[in-house]
Amino acid sequence: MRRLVLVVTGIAVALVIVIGGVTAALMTGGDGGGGGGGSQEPRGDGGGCPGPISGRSNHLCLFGADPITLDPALSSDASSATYIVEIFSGLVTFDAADPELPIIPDIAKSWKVSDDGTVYTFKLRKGVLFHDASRQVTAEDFKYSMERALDPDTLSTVALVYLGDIVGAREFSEGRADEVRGIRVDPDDPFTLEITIDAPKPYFLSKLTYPTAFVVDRRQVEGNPGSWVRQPNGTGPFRLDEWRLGERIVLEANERYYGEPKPSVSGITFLLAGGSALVMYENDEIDVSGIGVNDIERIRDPSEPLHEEFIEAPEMSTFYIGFNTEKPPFSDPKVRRAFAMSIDKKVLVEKVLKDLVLPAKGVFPPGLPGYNENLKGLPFDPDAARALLEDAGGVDQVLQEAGGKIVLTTSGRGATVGPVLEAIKAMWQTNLGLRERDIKIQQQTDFGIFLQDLDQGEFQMFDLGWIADYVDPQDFADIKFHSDSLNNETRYSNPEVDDLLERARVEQDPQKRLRLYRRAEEIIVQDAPWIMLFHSKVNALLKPYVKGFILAPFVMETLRYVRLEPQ
Amino acid sequence: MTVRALGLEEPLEAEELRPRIGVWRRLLRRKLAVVCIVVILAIYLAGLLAPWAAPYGFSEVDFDNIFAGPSLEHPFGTDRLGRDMLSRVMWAAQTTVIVSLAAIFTGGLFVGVTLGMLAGYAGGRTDNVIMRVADTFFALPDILLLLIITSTVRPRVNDLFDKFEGWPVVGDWVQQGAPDYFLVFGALSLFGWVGIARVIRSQVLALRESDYVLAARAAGASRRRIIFRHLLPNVSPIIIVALTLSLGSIAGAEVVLTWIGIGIQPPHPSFGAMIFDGSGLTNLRAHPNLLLIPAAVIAVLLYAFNLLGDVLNDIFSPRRR
Repeated sequence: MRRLVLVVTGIAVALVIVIGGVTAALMTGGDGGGGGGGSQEPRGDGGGCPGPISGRSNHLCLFGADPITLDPALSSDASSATYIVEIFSGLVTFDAADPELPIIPDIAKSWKVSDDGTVYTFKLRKGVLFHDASRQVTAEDFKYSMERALDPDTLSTVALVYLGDIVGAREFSEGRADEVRGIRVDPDDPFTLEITIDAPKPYFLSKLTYPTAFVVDRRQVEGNPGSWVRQPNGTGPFRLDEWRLGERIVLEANERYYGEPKPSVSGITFLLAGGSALVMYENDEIDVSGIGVNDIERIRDPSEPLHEEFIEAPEMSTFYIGFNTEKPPFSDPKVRRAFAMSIDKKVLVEKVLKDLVLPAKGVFPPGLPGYNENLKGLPFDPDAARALLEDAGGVDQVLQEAGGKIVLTTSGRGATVGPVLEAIKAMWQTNLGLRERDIKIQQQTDFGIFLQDLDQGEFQMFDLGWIADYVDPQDFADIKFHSDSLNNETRYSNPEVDDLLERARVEQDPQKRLRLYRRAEEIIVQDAPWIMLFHSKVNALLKPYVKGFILAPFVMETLRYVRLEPQ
Repeated sequence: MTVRALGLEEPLEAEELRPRIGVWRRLLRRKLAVVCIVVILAIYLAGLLAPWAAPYGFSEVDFDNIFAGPSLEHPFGTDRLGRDMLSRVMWAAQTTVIVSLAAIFTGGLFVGVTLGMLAGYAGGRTDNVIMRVADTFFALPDILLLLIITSTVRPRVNDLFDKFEGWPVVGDWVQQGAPDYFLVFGALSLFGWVGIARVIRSQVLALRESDYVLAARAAGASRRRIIFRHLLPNVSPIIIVALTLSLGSIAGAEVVLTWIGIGIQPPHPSFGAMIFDGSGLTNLRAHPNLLLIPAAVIAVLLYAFNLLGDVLNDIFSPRRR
């Protein structure tokens, strides 16, 4: 008996050791499996973040969101772009330090535009090195990078949106050509790049600030197609030091950066998890924190010590509820208008969101050329909304066409959706005479999958925001509402709007151009493929020792301007 | 989650398991038990009477009264949409009552007791099959399986229930979100029966060999008579203790599932959803009532069930009497 017990115990102990050992080996093995970039080992301490400034060596601590990808060719969302614009760079960029946001040279040191406005000739800087210092960037790298973004095998949903104006881009992306004809490297000078576009489009240069035109390291991408993006070899002011999914992203200053000013901080850590940003901020563990509905009133109070550190700035964004305009019942503009006119944005913005945002009437946010202060948006008018719904066949028919209930899909997780959608649902119920069960708010946990389903047109109704990529109304109107645009997820199609947008593309007189966009916006507002909800603002707290922090109105490369000056 | 009848694993002596008169009286003599019963009754009553007694509807928004603190009109304050917290707590209690009672009656009482008795009395292959299935359920991590079940089966359950729409009574239930409740208590029942079946089986195994069962069998009593007249009354104390304990754990499981987002769906109130909404450090600092009140109510309820289970265990267990 005793011996049996001993044997059994022995076997159990052996099993524990074996299983434990295998597990441990697998875990450490999995951790190191990113490889391929050839950069040195991460330091592994997150630069002292989260932690007090005194314990760090010139290292900035921020709160961040998990990126969907760090591949510039695939970047379609703001949280991914936040990191991509710091790690990679392209021909031109915005001068983030100038409020007018002019386009300035980046890797291109100068450019010429032909008289007919269709041929752009870029002269590249010499001596721009990739992060691993293995070689310098040439025009050939740009041709490769843009063609890679457009390559159908890359599966980019955005490449054509931002590079589609280039001659031959469409053929190439459909697999009908071996190269993009419009991107040409000067055979005599490897530092001269010529890009030809299909028509004189004044906004084209802006599009080259978008990540799809950024340069990637061909050797790395082709050498390690599966996982190069975990340790990308870019050219931007910062290089990726460490990326732990759902935990942190650590960037380190690129000491060979070609631009001026060079990064002042030695590194930046983005914490992707770890609780409340504001609490960490108050504990001196991070340097910048957003402010939510719960705290904004306290912080606006001048007697609150944190009020001194409060910063506020507009963002060029529009948040909206979109309809799939091809699926009944929302294929009927009357139904869409009815849903739009039954939302009281004043209550939403002032009461539910405590003025953290600005109410939206139209497509364009304030600050964007083309923004129309006097635009007559759809008013809040429950009676008119009900009449419209009656006119469209009545509540029961609308519900029947919707398949029993109206489903709004949002990205998020947890027991409940946010207060905005809950409030909107309550408003629809009260103002349109819908029952509790008639409207369902569905959550999709994974933002990447949410965007995929959106592209497939799976949703009846969805809530989303659009933040500017560059300072031009084309970025909002043409990309979101032209019937041929790949990014037109509402599938809105109005020949009149298409015509206005097409004319605006090539209109050379800026004033006339803006008028065309304003006219298009008016029609779009009436057709209501979007319920415009609000424009966002930056509401944040910034530690006094952080200098030169730029509150950009949209995602752009800004962090090299930041300086840390502890007393 | 899984029902574990704590402290009952050791089979009790058959003679000492005869139905006892005065259990109630002995129970009421214990102050702790009385307090627990009062607390449980109060919360259950508040839940059951919510449709009539709650001062506001659970999704009645009032945008002029967002985040109001406790006052006479709103004793527990209001939430981020100005909904009355007292009413929401009452409706959440109703959700708890419905889900836990339904899960107990199906999973614990019906399935668990039947299978336990069957396994114990029939023995042999039947016993083997039932108990191996039980072992399997017991061995798997139940929270994970609950996650998988509720998240994958939900669309199908919803489709099934959609067919009843427009029917009298049933149609109304569907309108009020019955599929959710059904799904959640169904998933919980699936795991609820294992613990109770095990305990009952072990009791029946012992009782089956006792003299009075032998006598009954010798006198020609039918199998059904032996099970229902002789065995069931003798295991009923165990059933009561186990059910009391598991009522608490099932209520807790529902809160967890809802908190994760796969239990009761909004707008139907549940303590899980309210705790989710109120959680977060900034929330807690700005509006502590939104988190603390629902959390306190559900905590008190779970605690009361556990204490009551302990007391019952004491009363029924001869060794500790």
